[in-house]
Amino acid sequence: MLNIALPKGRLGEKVYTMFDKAGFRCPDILSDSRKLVFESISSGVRYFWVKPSDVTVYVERGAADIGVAGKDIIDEYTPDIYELLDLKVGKCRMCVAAKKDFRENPDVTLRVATKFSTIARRYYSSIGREIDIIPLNGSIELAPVLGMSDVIVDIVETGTTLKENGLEVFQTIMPISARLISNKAAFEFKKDEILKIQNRMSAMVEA
Amino acid sequence: MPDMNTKIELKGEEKVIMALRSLYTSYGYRPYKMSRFEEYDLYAGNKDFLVSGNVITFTDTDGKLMALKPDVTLSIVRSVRDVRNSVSRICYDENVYRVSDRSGTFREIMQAGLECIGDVGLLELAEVAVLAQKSLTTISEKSVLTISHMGIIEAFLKGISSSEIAEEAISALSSRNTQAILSLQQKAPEASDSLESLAHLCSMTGSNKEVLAELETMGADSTSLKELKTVVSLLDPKVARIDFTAVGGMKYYNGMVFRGYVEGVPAAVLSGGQYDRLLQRMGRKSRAVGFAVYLDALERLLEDRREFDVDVVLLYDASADIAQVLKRARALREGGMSVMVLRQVPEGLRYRDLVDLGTKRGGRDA
Repeated sequence: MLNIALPKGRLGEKVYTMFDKAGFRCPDILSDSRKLVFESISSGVRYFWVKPSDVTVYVERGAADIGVAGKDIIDEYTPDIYELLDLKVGKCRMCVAAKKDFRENPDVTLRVATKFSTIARRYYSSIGREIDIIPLNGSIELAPVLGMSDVIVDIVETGTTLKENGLEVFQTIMPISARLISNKAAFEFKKDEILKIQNRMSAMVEA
Repeated sequence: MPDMNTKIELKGEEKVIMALRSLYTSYGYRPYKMSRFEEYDLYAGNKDFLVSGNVITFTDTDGKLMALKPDVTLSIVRSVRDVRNSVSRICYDENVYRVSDRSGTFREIMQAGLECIGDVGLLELAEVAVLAQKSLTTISEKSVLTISHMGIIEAFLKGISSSEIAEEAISALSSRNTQAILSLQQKAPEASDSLESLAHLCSMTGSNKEVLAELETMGADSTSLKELKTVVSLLDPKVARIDFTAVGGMKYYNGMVFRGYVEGVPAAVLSGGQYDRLLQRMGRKSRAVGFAVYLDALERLLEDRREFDVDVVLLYDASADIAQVLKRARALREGGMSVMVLRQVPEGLRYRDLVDLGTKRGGRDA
């Protein structure tokens, strides 16, 4: 039985259809239910819905053999896992954004509000800029509006939220998409099944 | 004197430690006992060699900065002298102390392992690989030893001039991310062929025989390939697999790198390899190979799930003749049972049998 952690929400549902097409079907999962665990004996899989930012935890700790997580989460938490495949769905960008009229003063420490402290710290240290991280958990766009931060580092999908708050993208740090990940030990003991999923999904992504 | 009839009840990890120790000593490895403390300087210069860069430090009575030992290998390397035409074989089971990078809390971790230091040749390398495999099969019937070779990886890395790209490629290799290696071709078109070869190493999942044949075709470094071939031929193909995603830090590791997994434990339980470069960095001439088994990772796997806390509960009351009660308990223990003498059974205690010696309660004397 292969345990698969899927991110709750729209992305998870999209990714499930890829697993379904790859032959790992479990129709119950799309039923309108509050259940978190769905099993299909005939397909040999057990799916569970978890908070998107927790998928890497379930996989790293072996509760799930494989899972689907955003590149943002993988880079932020750097879990000890295998990153097997770029599924090329859930595409967005990790960006630096600020108020439209923002002019950076290189002479003062840059105040950065973000949910992604590790990614922000790594990016600014790569360009040698001194920063002050303001860790937030949501509504990041508010920080520069209220003058609490100079910029934000956050995920941008369409840019609508930024625009509505008078912000715009200044730099793109990296592109983001969903990745198929695997626990390292599970890969050794369930190699054939995991490779089957990887190969079938890879063919789907390429098509 | 312990009662010789008493069964020795060992915890799962303790049994493994004893089994590993007797395995290692049967190959001539000599147990080595270390101090819990070392001068911090030893670790400061070789932080990348440690699993976690965070070392727990304190000041000793004359003001020297000391560390709670976060690693065993560095201490052993320092204590072993270079011997020409010979090797020192050392094994250990020790606790090491680390700061968890995630939670920032202190952790005490039980480790067992061995180091072979000196004029290490193919025989010693093969012997250590065999011992790594045997260590895993001692722990569990379902285990996997992955073997990679830094000599082969590095030969392909030579075609990449930018150290930044090389580092990214190595990091992608260790997370089995073939696409990320190939995508580096855009940044470094001149290293296209090398990256192609690394991506190939990353995606090899065939049998050892197939992988060795592929490596031959790819033109892998011949000395390293020969070494890998010989060692792998001495291992059980059901347990040992060639897998290049096991990558060691290039500042320290130069030859084979091992990782061991057992079913039911989510992370590697064994890790090691050939680390001549660590000795070079310490100004030494010897070569070295070794591995460690992380016993704390096995705690859950080997967890004792006994049905009962004790075999027999012996109940007595105030009027009982103490000597008689103790005699009775001893007789039961000599019959191989564990016995708990109590005046009252506490809530939640799980016992197989209850013997009530209470005279006042008119209890049974079974």
